[in-house]
Amino acid sequence: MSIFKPEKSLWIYHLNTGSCNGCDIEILAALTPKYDAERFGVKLVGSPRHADIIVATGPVTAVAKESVLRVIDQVPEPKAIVVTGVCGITGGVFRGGYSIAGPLDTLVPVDVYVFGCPPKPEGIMVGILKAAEVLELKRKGMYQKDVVRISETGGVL
Amino acid sequence: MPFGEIFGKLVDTLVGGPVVKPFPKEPVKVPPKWRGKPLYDAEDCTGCRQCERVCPPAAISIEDNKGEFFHYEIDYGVCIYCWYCIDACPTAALTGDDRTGLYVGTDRTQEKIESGVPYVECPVCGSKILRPARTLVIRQFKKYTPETLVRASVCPKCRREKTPEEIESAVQKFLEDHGIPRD
Amino acid sequence: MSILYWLLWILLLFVWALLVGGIDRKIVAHLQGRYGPPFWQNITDFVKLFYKKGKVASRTALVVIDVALVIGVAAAVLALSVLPFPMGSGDSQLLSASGDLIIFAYAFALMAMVYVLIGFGGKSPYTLVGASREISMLLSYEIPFILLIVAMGYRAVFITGLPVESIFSMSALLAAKSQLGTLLMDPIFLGIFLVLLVLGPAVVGSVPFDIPEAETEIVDGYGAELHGPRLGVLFGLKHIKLITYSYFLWMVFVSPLTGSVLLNVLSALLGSLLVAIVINTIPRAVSGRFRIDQGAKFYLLGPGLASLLLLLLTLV
Ligand code: SF4
Ligand code: SF4
Ligand code: SF4
Repeated sequence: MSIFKPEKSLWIYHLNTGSCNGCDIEILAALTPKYDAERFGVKLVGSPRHADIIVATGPVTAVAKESVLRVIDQVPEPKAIVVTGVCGITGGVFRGGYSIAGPLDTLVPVDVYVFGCPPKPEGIMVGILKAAEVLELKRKGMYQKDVVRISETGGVL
Repeated sequence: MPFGEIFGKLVDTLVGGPVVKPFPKEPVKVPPKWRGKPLYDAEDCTGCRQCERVCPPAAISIEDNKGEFFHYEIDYGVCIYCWYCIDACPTAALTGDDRTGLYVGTDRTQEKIESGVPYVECPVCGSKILRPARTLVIRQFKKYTPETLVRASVCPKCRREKTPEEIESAVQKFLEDHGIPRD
Repeated sequence: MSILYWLLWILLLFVWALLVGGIDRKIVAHLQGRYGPPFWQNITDFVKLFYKKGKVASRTALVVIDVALVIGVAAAVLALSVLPFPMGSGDSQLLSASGDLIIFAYAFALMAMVYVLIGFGGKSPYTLVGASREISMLLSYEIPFILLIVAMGYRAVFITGLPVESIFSMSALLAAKSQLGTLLMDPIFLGIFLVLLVLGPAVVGSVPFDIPEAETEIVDGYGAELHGPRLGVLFGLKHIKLITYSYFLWMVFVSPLTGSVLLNVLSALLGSLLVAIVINTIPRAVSGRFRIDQGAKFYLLGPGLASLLLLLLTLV
C-alpha cells in the first residue's frame, strides 16, 4: 500500500555549507509550480530533526564544518544525504582553497550526487527520488553503496 | 488592499490548470544553447593543452609521458560546464553535449572521461611524435586514411632537413614494411 | 454502547482530520498552478514519522514534552467529548453538564498551552522563541474567544428561555439551534460565527498567524527539537485541533438536523471540511505570514472590539 509507505513522504532539509547560492536557488526552483516536487511528497522543513533527506550544497568551509557535522548528526535515522552541485562533490571552483575543509563525502557518507554548477531543478528532483530508493533500502537493512545504479542521464524515470 | 486582484489571479490559475512541466513522464527538455558535458575525442586532439590552461576549476588533467602516451582526463565532478575548453580547442577535439540535462549518480568516480593520444613513429627518422589530429590531416590531405596518417606523421625535424624525395621514399618504404594499405 | 460509537467516531474524525490536511495541501497547490501531493499525503507523513529514530539533545527535557503531549491528547479528547456527535438520532453529547461550554473553551486553551510546554521543554533558543510567541498569540486571541463564548451562552439562554443555570451549556445551544433551525438565523449568533471564523487561523495556527511555528525564521518554533513518534503525535494534534475547531463551528452553528445517522455523519464531515477550507486553506493561499506584533494588534483591535460589542448587544 503506497499510502503507508514511508518513502512516499520525503521531508527535505536544505543545508548550505558555504555555497555561492546558485544551487540553493535551484533547490527552491524545484519546489516552484514549474517543477512541483511536492507531488512526490517532498516538503521543505525548517528543522533538521524533522528531515528525512539532507540536500547539501557548497564545499564545506572550515568555519561551517563543525555546524554541518552537528546538523547531520541531528537528522533521525534512516536518513539520506544528497549533494547538489559540483562544489559539494569535489570542491568545484573552490577546490584546494585555503578555507575549504570538505568536500562533504570526505566527512560523512554521501548517498546521491547531483552534478552541475548549478544542476537543473529536474536533476535535483531526480536526486531526491534516488535518495528515496536509498531510504527504502536502508529501512529494510539492505543498503550497500553500489546497489543503486547510476541513472540514465536525462532518461525517463 | 489588492485582495480582489489576488483572488482574480487565484481563479485564473485554477481555471488555467497546472503549469507543471511533464518532466518525469517525458525526458528533460533543455533550452537552446544549453551547455552540458564537454565530450572529448582523442582522434582530433593535437595535445596543445589549451583546454587545460583555460579550464577555471581545473577539471581537465593532462599527463604527458613524452614519447609514450598523452593521458587526458575530464572529471565531471569538478567541471562547471562553462565550455571554455570547447572555445579554446583549435582542432574541435572537444564538443559539447547540448541535449542531456541531468547528471545524477550514486558514485562520483563514474562520472569522468579517461582517454588519451598515443605517440607514433616518424616514418623517416623513427623518432616518436604525438599522433597527428584528424582535423589537421584532413586539412592537409583532404581525407583521413591510414596512408595520409602516416604521411602526416613525418616529424617537424625531418620536414625541415630532408628533401621531398627522401621523405617520399622513406614513407613508401614504411608503408611497405608495415603492410599499410594504400589509397 | 454510546461510548463505543463515540470512540469509533473520534477515530473516524482523526483520519478525516489527516485527509482534510491533505485536501488543504492539494487545494493550495491547485491555486498556485501545481498538482500538489496526493490528498492522502498527510496520512503518509503521519505514518512515516513513527518509523524514525533519532538522537535527543542532552538539554531537552523529555519528561516535560511527554507530559505535554499526553495532556494535549487528553485535551483533544475532552473537547470532542462535550461536542455533539452525529450518531444516534440528531445531536447527542457523550458528556453533558451545565458549563460544558467552558470546558470546551478551556480544552482549547489547554491545547495551546501544550505547544508552550513543548517549546519550554525543548530548551533550544528556537523552541523558546516559539513558545513565547505562542503565549502572545494565545493572549491576543483568547480574550475575544472567551468573550464570544460568554456571549453565546447568554444569547442561547435568552432565545430558549431555559433557566439561567443552563447558561454555558452546550445543550442550551443545541436547544436554541433546534428552535431556530440553524443558529445563523439570529443576527447576534451570525456575528459571533463570523468573528469566530476570523479567530480561526490563530486558534488552529494556520498561515497568516502561524507565527509561533514560522519555519523559515525560527525553524518550526516550538516543535524544532521533536522528532520521530513525538513529532508524529504533535503532527496529529495540530490536525485534531483544526478539525475540532471547524467541527465545533459547523456542528453548533450551521449543521442541519436530520433523522438519519448516515446523513448526519456525512454532513458533519463535509461541513467541517468546508469550514477548514475557509479558515485554513484560503488564508494560506492568499497571504504571507504576519509579524507577531501585527498579529496581536490585529486580534485585539479587530475581533477583540467586535466581540466586546457582541457581548454588550447580548446583555442589552
Ligand atoms: S556548484 Fe556551482 S552553483 Fe552550486 S553552489 Fe557550487 S559554485 Fe555555486
Ligand atoms: S566545460 Fe569548463 S569546467 Fe568543464 S572541462 Fe571545459 S573548461 Fe573545464
Ligand atoms: S583537447 Fe583540444 S585544446 Fe585540449 S589538448 Fe587536445 S587539441 Fe588542445
